[in-house]
Amino acid sequence: MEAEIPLPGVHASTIEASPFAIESKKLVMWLFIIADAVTFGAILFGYGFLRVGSTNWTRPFDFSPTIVNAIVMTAILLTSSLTMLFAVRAAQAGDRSRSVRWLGVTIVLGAAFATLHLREWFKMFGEGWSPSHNPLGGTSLVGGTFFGLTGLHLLHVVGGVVAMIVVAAKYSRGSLKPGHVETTGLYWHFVDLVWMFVFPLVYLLNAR
Amino acid sequence: MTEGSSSATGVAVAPDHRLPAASGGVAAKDIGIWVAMLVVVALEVVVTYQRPSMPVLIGVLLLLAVVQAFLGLMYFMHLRHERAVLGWSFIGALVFVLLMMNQVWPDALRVFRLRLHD
Repeated sequence: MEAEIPLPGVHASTIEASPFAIESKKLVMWLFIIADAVTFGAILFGYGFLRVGSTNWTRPFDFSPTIVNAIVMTAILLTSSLTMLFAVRAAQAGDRSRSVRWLGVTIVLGAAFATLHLREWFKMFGEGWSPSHNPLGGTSLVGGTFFGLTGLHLLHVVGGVVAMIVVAAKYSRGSLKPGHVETTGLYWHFVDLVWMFVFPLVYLLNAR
Repeated sequence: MTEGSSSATGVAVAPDHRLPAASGGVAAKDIGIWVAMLVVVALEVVVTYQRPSMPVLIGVLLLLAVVQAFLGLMYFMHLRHERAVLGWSFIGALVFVLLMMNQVWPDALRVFRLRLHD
């Protein structure tokens, strides 16, 4: 039987413990992750629909430099998930300074991922690619779906980096708790997992 | 410092699940999962350049991505340390919604079935 939570001025039997046995901020993050996963899922299905339904789809990516660059970006993002895990474990062990250091490493890796991504984008812009133009002569949906999907993911990465900077700064001053680091970590791992679908479906399936 | 015992207002909250304490063995396991996910990435690239047919390639890449998602959810997002009801209700609902989206494929493929009649 679940334990009841007493609230001041409220009859104890009116509130029950969470069936998930997690803090509210962590529950909210899980709800956000599920909703955001549906968003990315819908966009990936939209990309698949347009690709399957197009007769003049073009594959723009050579192994070098684009696929190699995407492999490096994937390795960086996976490594940042590992360093974020170390930050969470250090926070829960009560080692604040070590946790902040690992958060710092994760921030640097996230920034490196975003930098490589933007460099790739600007290289493509230089070759004539845009969300509405395909320099190879095929459908412009190639650029539209590529920049739309990777742009939404990049937005999540940049948002995650900013969030980690804020959390690391506040946690180092003692105004946030280890649970905040864990909740931020959940978000960062989710951003990593989304990329595990974007990389094969958007990059590898469009490799020449 | 432990969270989950009481909030700033003195109101008790449900106890949170804790990760296994950091240790050499735990860190080695984390690194093992990270290496496994990197290996899956390498497999994806190798399979792609074996140039299988597109349906086979899509199937293999999706399967490998699901393996990575499973590893990430269980070991990086600690779903295996949470109550089972969390995973079944949230991930179950997500999988159901994504499966329902598969209704789009017959419509996407219709362009290849369209033919001019004599």
